[in-house]
Amino acid sequence: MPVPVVASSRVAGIQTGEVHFLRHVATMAWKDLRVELRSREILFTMSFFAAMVVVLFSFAFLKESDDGEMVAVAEITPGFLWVAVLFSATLGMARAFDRERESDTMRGLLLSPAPRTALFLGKAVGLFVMMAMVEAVVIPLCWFFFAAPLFAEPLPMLALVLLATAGVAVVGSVFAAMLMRTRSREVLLPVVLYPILVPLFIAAIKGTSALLVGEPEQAWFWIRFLLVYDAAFVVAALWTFESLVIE
Amino acid sequence: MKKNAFLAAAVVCALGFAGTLYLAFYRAELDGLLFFNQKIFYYHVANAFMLFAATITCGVYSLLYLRKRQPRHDDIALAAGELAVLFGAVVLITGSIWGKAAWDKWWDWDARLTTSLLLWLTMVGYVLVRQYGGAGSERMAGGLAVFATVNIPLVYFSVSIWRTLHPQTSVVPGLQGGMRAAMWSSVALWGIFYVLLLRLRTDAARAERRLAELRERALDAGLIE
Amino acid sequence: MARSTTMMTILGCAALLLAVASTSAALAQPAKEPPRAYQSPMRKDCEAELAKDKGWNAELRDSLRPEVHEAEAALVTRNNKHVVMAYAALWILTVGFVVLLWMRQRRLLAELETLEKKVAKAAEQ
Repeated sequence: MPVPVVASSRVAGIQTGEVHFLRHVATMAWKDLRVELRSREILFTMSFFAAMVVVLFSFAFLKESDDGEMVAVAEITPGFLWVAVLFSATLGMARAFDRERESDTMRGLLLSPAPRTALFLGKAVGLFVMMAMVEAVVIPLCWFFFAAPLFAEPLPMLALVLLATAGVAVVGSVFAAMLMRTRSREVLLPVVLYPILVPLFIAAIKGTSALLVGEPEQAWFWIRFLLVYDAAFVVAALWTFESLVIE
Repeated sequence: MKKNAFLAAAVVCALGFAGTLYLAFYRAELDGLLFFNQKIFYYHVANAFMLFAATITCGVYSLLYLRKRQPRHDDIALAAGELAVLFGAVVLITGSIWGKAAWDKWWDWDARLTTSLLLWLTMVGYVLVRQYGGAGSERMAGGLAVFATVNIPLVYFSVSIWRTLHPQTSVVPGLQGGMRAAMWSSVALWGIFYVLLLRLRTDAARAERRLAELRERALDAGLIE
Repeated sequence: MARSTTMMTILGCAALLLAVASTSAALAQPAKEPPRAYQSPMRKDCEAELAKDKGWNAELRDSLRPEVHEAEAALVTRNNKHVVMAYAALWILTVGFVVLLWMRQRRLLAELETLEKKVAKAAEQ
């Protein structure tokens, strides 16, 4: 698991530090993804759960319009999408850290020469990739079920989705790691996570909604907001992660 | 905080409660729109200020605790967290009642009330983590408090923009004379009251901690079983 | 230590009593008068018309019964229901918190006593 220090990297001189750091992050993330891709457990369960949430919400919030069609107004579809993503992400991050706890690999990771922040970023990247894969399922699903023009403006949509996913991945990793050994972690994780994620949630929903009604300037505003949000919480995470995971 | 300072502050508080209520009910002008029900406003705003003060206190001391591991910082953070829940509950309930009086609706998704709701929910989460988090819950709750404090401007900003598509219903007009005196003196009063409560609760937290340590040492020394 | 606690309790209760007294005294106070009403220049014409149309006259009289007006005005200006609810909630929550603090303090003191007794007993042995 620890990355073997290759002698030739010392030749790079000043940049050795950053290279090592990024390599640690990449190794960490790749480790998670490789384990996951082998069994695909979290991926399948997350995706199916997200799809079920979308379907449940359809029963709850769609109603027949005058022509007898079941319609979702433009304002509701983003809600379906992002609530499904949020719920499945919560499950996924809990499960990802559960795995570490069950096989007791966390101690080994912490003892490795990789700096803690690289560990944390690696975990966040892993979670990001898994969430992206789930979104690749859920977004087309919403497009299919609700006839929502989610792909009308691909560039802002992509930026929005990536930034929102990054925010959830960063904040979620911190809290999931923090609660890893707690008895009531399944219920405490949403309890602590969701209030912190509210601004991101608002931004994602309003941004998607703006794209659906064809107002890209509004969407770009929310994208900039998400940038600020992500930056603020990456800083907060780096401040606190160190002291939160000393097991 | 020295004992004399504490007592002095307590006396000021006692007089302050009577004084601010006098100012609010006898000296402040009667509002032209809401008449008597506007009087809720004075303590509601003061408590809102204190909600933010308590949350920021909790966040700052939590960060200090996470960095330096001094237990007294954690005591203050715990006290501030619980007080944030108290003040938040007061803000939400009085704000909701005021909303009913002013707009005939118990809840309106007004930007400020929603921000307070989210902050309150986060601090309730803080208290829950401390209660049920098991071992190491001080650190975990501390992390949450830091994130909550960083989140304050982001929440306010996003909720305000979320609300600009709806009619502005927030009512903090330019206050004149009697109303302004009543409001700011209420804020000052509740500031002092907050500090007093913080002191009391911090002392209780510290006492609990030392008692637990004492029990551990007695157990180790074989004095009790 | 015990004396300052007693003093603080007394001060706190005094403050509370003062506050509750002020609130209830203030609620008993009548509301202030609203500003002077507007006088229409069309009064004479309207009164002439009213004198001609008896039906309208009767309907208007009905709806302009002073008691109806007074009742409605009183409802708005003297409605202190919400103020009472709000302040009641505020005091209940605040006092409740202080009471919880006090109960916690008592529990701590009791635990301290038990611990002291146990240690004293063990020290004797």
